[in-house]
Amino acid sequence: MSGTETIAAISTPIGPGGIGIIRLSGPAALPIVAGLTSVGPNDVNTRPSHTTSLTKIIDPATGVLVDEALVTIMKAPNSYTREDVIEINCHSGMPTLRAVLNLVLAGGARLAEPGEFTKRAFLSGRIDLTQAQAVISLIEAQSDAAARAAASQAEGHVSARINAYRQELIGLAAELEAAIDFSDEEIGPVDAGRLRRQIEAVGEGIEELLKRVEQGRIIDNGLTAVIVGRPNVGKSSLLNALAMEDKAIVSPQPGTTRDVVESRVMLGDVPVQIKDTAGWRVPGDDIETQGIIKTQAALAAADLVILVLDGSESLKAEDLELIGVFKKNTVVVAAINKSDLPQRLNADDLPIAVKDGLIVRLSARTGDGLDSLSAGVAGMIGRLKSAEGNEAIMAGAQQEQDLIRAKASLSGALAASAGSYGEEIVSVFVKEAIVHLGRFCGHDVGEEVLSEIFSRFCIGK
Amino acid sequence: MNDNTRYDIITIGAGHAGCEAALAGARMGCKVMMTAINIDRIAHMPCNPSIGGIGKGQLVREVDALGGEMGRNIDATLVQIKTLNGSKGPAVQALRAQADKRQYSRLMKAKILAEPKIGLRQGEVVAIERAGEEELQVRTADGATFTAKCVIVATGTFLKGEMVIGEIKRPGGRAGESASSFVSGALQRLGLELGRFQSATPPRIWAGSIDATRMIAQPGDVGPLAFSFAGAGRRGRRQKDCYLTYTNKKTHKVIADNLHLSPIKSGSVSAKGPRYCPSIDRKVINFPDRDRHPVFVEPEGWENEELYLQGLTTSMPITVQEKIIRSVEGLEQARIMRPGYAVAYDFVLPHQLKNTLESNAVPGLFAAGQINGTSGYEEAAAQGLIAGINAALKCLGKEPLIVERSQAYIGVLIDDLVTKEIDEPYRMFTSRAEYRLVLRSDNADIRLTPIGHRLGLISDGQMEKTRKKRRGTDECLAKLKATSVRTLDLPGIAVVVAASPAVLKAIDLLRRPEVTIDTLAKIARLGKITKESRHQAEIETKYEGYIKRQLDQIAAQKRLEGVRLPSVDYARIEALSMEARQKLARIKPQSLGQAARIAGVTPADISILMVAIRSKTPAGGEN
Ligand SMILES: Cc1cc2nc3c(=O)[nH]c(=O)nc-3n(C[C@H](O)[C@H](O)[C@H](O)COP(=O)(O)OP(=O)(O)OC[C@H]3O[C@@H](n4cnc5c(N)ncnc54)[C@H](O)[C@@H]3O)c2cc1C
Ligand SMILES: Nc1nc2c(ncn2[C@@H]2O[C@H](COP(=O)(O)OP(=O)(O)O)[C@@H](O)[C@H]2O)c(=O)[nH]1
Repeated sequence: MSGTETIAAISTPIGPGGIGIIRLSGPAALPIVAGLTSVGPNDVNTRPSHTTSLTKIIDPATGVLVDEALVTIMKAPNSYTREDVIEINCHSGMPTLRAVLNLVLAGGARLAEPGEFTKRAFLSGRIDLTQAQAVISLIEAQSDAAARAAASQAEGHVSARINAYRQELIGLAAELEAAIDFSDEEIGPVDAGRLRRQIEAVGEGIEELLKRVEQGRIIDNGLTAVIVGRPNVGKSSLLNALAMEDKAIVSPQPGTTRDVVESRVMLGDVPVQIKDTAGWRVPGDDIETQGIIKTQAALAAADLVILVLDGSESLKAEDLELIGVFKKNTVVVAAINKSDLPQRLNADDLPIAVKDGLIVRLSARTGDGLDSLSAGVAGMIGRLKSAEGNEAIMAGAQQEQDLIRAKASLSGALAASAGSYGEEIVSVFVKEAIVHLGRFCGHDVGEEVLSEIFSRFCIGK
Repeated sequence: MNDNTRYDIITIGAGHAGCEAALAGARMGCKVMMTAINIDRIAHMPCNPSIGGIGKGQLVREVDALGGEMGRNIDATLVQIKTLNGSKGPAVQALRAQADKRQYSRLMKAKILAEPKIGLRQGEVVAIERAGEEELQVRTADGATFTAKCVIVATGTFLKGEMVIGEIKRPGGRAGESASSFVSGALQRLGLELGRFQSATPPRIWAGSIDATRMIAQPGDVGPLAFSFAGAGRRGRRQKDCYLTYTNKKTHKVIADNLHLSPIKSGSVSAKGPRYCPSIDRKVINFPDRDRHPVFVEPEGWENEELYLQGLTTSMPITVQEKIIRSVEGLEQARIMRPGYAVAYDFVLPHQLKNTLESNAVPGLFAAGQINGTSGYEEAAAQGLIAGINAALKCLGKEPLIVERSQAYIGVLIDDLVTKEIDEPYRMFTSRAEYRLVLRSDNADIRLTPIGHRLGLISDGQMEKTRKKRRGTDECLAKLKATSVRTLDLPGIAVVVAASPAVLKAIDLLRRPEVTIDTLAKIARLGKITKESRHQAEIETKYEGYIKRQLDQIAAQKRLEGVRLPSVDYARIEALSMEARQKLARIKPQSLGQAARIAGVTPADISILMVAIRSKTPAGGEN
């Protein structure tokens, strides 16, 4: 592999905890890093592959210690890219990370293009295309749940299921084709009722997979939640408490007009982007409706609403007014705050829309009940998007499109089979669906349908 | 001038491929020599006495539309004709005719002899060699030599042909004709790689020995049907029936008891045969729960002499063949006239050919027909026509003709041959054509006749007829678009469309399955438009939405087609599967689209290729 450039990049999303990894891949990875580290028993040149060691990173030009980092070596071909790979695990925050990267680049590495590590892994035959998407998700996974889903997918559970649907459709296509190409050989028309039932069943299966893809997207990108409540119920306090709890807060970014504050926090496994509506209802705002419209818009865009109520007071007209804005399908978590104070709010008084959701009593001040909120929200994802027991699917936008198209093709097939058209039309749609499913995990159609015909039907005069 | 040893084109073979090739070459102005081992067996049908069928019928229409002979020849010599898939959509309907096989052959020979630019000569070719830069030389067993710019090899099942009945094996090209023993070697010396296939045919019985009353008569259609766009067909023409009967438990027992004698079991035939023409032995083995298989009894001509037993293909020993036949209802007294047999033969691995059917290795050397691994008269004729046209174009110094997959079944056939791994004799099916809804029997003329006309194979009159059909169709469509129909005015239909608006465009009404063009003829004033054009407009309208889907697919396909593959060192792209690497290296596809059609090359491989050719630093890292 001589002649290949050595690439380097910061590999983990910068953010949580300020920890980042600089990854190098290529033939010069070892000498470049050796140039930045001290000679000794832990010299990267002499250490065996797949070892990690705390190593001092020194600027060769000045001799100044830049960071003390965990340096992991994975030698070719037993690495992700099948090239020599080194990971430098810095833990001193962004500026140091940049400084180390600059040293690596000065040492002869080139800054990697986005996705270039995965591209190299793919081109070296280390991973196949069907795994690539999952692996990309895995690398980028921001949460444990995402990592689990991606790992399970890399093992091929999803492909297996889609392949099963695809096989069923190939069988159907074979029947349709046999009915067309061998109609003069005692092969009758396909039983219309059974055809419809089979297509419907596969369609429903795909529908369910799509829900899991949606769920995967949520795990991958995180949930968006809106936190609402009348003034002084403790919204800001709750948000801060959640952020403290996980030490995962990315700096709150004030909205341009200071009326929306966004924070990213981890609730259990799941990254949640929370929009704080503090300041929406500016006292003296004469146009009440304007606030309501804004709230509605925020609600529509969110996966989840966290309704904060003050448990130390009885339910107020303003609380009810706010709840009145919720749509029927809004998913609500009611956080009855200030549980450290004597409780006056009777949960039974809450409207059905709220009672149907999750209700947690907590205290932003003491931290009591925050874990219930986290667990509750994590559980909500399942409730939100999918049946229980089924893992989320990490799919790329292209793959999600493949499933959506497959579903649409099957609907077309159903419509065609209900009309008075022939098998040749139903077949157009069924084959389309096979192509889309095949593309999801990588296959060819043509010959397979023919082979299926010959193995299943007695054809030939 | 009168040199009887120098030609533009030599066709070796006078089968269905050789005939179309010679006729096309001569009609395009080339001097052609046609050789055959036996010139009394021109355009002979050694297997079923029929032409057309689903997929194959479309090929015949296309051959006719391009200016080939098969359509006209069968129209003039058929004993029965019918539409298959009549209850399905027009895209998958096809004609099939039973031929008087001797008349068919005689008429084709007459046409060859009538062509002044064709010289016909009996003789077995034993050598094909390069003769200088631009010429090839051919030598026959009787010592004659000929040179030509192009040689079209169309030798069918003859190359090292070996006929098998039971345990008996002997050389032969087909029943009653000797094998061709030297052409295989000649082709190999020219650098071509050969494979071996096998095919078999059922026994023929004496027509006087069956009991037709115990079988189901299968008459032809009464309507005026014809393969050729130039002919009209005659309503109520005289036809002959076929008969349908079935095998039974007794038949299957005879076969089971004698399986050890079947060449498939005894191993005396090891070459690969077609899956779609299994012998009755194979059917009984593979489908043990079927208690009967159909047998179609087909006349071989007007004279009531021999009958062909479609469905009883076998090359068991003759005594067993007799028992099998006589176990079938209606055939209890049947007398075999010619036993069934299998034939194994060499063929040219067709990926060594271009889309023009010219070989990559030897300029001027073409191959067409069963020698390219196909089976069937129609497949042979289609290839013969394309090889003949391209040989002529080459002699005339003109651009070659390449028919695209999206244009014709002929394009599908040739593209499959030159790109796909052919591991059994190749036969056309409609399902091989991804653009099936566009490639219909009814519009083959509109698709291909302009090409045939440009080549000089279609008369001005025929071209004008095609133009008129298209013009009439467009006119009809325009009228349908311009006409508003009050649903009230269509009493029969009002009920069905009750839920729709009171006024509709005629064309939208026609899209409904229950509305036909005839219902709208009066209202849309289609009186002056021919029935054919109306029918065309109706099909186009009804299929429009679906055709659009297929055209979208064609467009998507074209994008891949447009991505040329530079000379890629596939061995170095490690992410490709081993199979894909080997096949790509061997077949050397010219475009990504062609690569995608190679069996064993998956879409995943294609995406890898896309990444690799776009990548600045491909794996292996030349930069
Ligand atoms: C036993 C048998 C079974 C078959 N079964 C089927 C079937 O199941 N289904 C199906 O669709 N089709 C079947 N066919 C195939 C069908 O016959 C062929 O596909 C078709 O006839 C091929 O046409 P062709 O023009 O390629 O060659 P052919 O019709 O075989 O013609 C070959 C020509 O080449 C000539 N020739 C050969 N060698 C030389 C030489 N050295 N010098 C000069 N001339 C030479 C011969 O004389 C002949 O004129 C079968 C054929 C046979 C013999
Ligand atoms: N006792 C108690 N006070 C709280 C709690 N949460 C918030 N508060 C107080 O309630 C007041 C309003 O809190 P804030 O977070 O600003 O409310 P917001 O307007 O909804 O954002 C502040 O004085 C907080 O200290 C809680 O859990 N317990």
